Amino acid sequence: MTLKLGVPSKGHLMEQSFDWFAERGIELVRCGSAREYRGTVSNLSGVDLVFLSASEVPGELSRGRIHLGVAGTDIVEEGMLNPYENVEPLHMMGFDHSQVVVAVPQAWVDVRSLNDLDAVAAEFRKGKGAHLRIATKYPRLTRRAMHTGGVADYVLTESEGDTEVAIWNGSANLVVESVKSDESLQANHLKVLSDGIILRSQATLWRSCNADWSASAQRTLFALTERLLRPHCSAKEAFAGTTPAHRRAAVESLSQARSSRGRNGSATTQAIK
Amino acid sequence: MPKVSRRAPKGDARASDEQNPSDTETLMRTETLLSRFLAAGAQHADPAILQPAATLLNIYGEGIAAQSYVTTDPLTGPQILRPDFTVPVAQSHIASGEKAARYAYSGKVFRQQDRTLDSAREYVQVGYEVFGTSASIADDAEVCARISSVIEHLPLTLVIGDVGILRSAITSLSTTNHRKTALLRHIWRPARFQQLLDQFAGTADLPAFIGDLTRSSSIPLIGGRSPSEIEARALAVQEDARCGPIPAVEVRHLEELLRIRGPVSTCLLHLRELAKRWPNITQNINRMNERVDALRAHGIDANAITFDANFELSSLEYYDGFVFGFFAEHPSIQNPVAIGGRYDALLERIHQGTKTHAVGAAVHINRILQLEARQ
Repeated sequence: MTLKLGVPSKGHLMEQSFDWFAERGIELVRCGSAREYRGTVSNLSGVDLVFLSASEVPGELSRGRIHLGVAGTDIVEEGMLNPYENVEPLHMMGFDHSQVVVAVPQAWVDVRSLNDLDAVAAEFRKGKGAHLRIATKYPRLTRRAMHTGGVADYVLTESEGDTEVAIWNGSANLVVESVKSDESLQANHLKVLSDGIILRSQATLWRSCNADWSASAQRTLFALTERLLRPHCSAKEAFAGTTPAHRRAAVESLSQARSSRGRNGSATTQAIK
Repeated sequence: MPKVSRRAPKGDARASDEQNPSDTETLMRTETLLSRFLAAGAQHADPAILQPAATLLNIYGEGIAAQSYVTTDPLTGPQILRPDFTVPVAQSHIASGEKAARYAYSGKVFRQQDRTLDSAREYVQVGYEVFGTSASIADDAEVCARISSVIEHLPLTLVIGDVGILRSAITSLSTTNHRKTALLRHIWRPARFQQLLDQFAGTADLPAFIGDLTRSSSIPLIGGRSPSEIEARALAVQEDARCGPIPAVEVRHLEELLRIRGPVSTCLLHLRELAKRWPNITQNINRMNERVDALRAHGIDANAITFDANFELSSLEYYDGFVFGFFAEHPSIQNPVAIGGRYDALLERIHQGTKTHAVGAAVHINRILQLEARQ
């Protein structure tokens, strides 16, 4: 029984994942042509690579069709209900950093926090009889953030393309989106609310709790983690976090250690009733 | 060797907690209850399962929106599987142009459950709604008693409350209308309500509001708010920052009020005690008193009624007056067997300027059958 490792199938994320494993002495190899969606590890037996698009990784992990997978924290927390009951983070991989933020027009000089946003939502409802419209690719993270931030009277406009466009064409009033820097927000005359960073994300190696962990898959995992050992995460620690709370705490402590700014917005996980 | 847990994939689990009685049993009981409501003079309401999503979600708000199943029709656009009966029934009543009417209905409602697979996603309700031209105490009592009459063979506790008491208390706080409106708007979200109350009482910091509030002309106006709206709110915020806190004594009274729970007669005494210091809530307390008398006249044992000032506030966003629920004493059935209340403000939202008032409730058939099975 082989251990299935899901990795991004294209682009920077694939290259960086390959590099990250290579730096740790693990050589990922794509079978045949560059278009083929299978691969192996040349210097470790028992691993099958499965190439997936980033958004497929959470589902495959939670169904247990792959044992390990590389995906951003944002994709996992958005794509999976109760993520820390189904997966646990083995390594924060240190690339593909981004933040999921609540951004409003810079013209809204009176809106600086979620508290203000809620007041504007109330005015909208009263004055225009309409809900404040939030364009986002992250409906679950958005609802969670609005719930904890106390914002009511909004509706979500799920958007496939660039969410900023939704503001310019009038189909949304604000956005919740993933940004790597302030540049694109600045260029679109948007600003992040003071408590508007709702998740700090980076590429992470996840272990599925639902995969078939046969004895041979466990042996392969052990061989793999021995090579991946980093000072911040011993093998013992990597497997000690057996409860969802532990796993969530592990992600937060690791991501906070890597980020110099403020608290992690994801700390308060609040399921919507 | 690392210890790795093995667990069956979650997707394979079955909804199990509400061990569903057979369909025939559910159907038969549904018919029986519906016919009793119809025999009491109600018209039969039978709204479609598929409802236009945009209209309904706008009325329900985000709480129910997040729990609803939304699907798309190629011609009519987004549709929603009805998450309850109240709004569709109210819509058809308003469309009918009638002033007063009674309706009974039965059927499935659909709610997503994102916490556990152990809860039903679709369940059968039988309900009774009374529409009238005033917020009549007689109607409140009639609906509550009608529901009680079909479940009186079960060991249930009747819990009642009145959002109106809390509303009148908030309205009489010594603070700006702006702050009162904000508190009233969040009655149904206890965490947010407390956060605002702490801010307005000065026990939590108001979010700092310093710096320039004038908009540079080089910043394009996007986002759907006009310059005058932005400026008006910027001014209001600065004004609010200068306004003094809600007096501590009033906050204590409000918090005391929210904690009142127990036998209704004791609670009414407690409320009257509060009203001595806080006269504005007297009218609503009197109404509660009359309501209890009316329930007694319907044959309900008033000594067994529990009053809860905070009753189900977090889950009943559209109720704004009398609220009630019947709860099983059996610990395995925590959700109410029947629940309802008055929702005049919701009608206002459905149809601006309407003078219609309504009170209604729904019974959960599966919970009745489960409870009977356990007896």
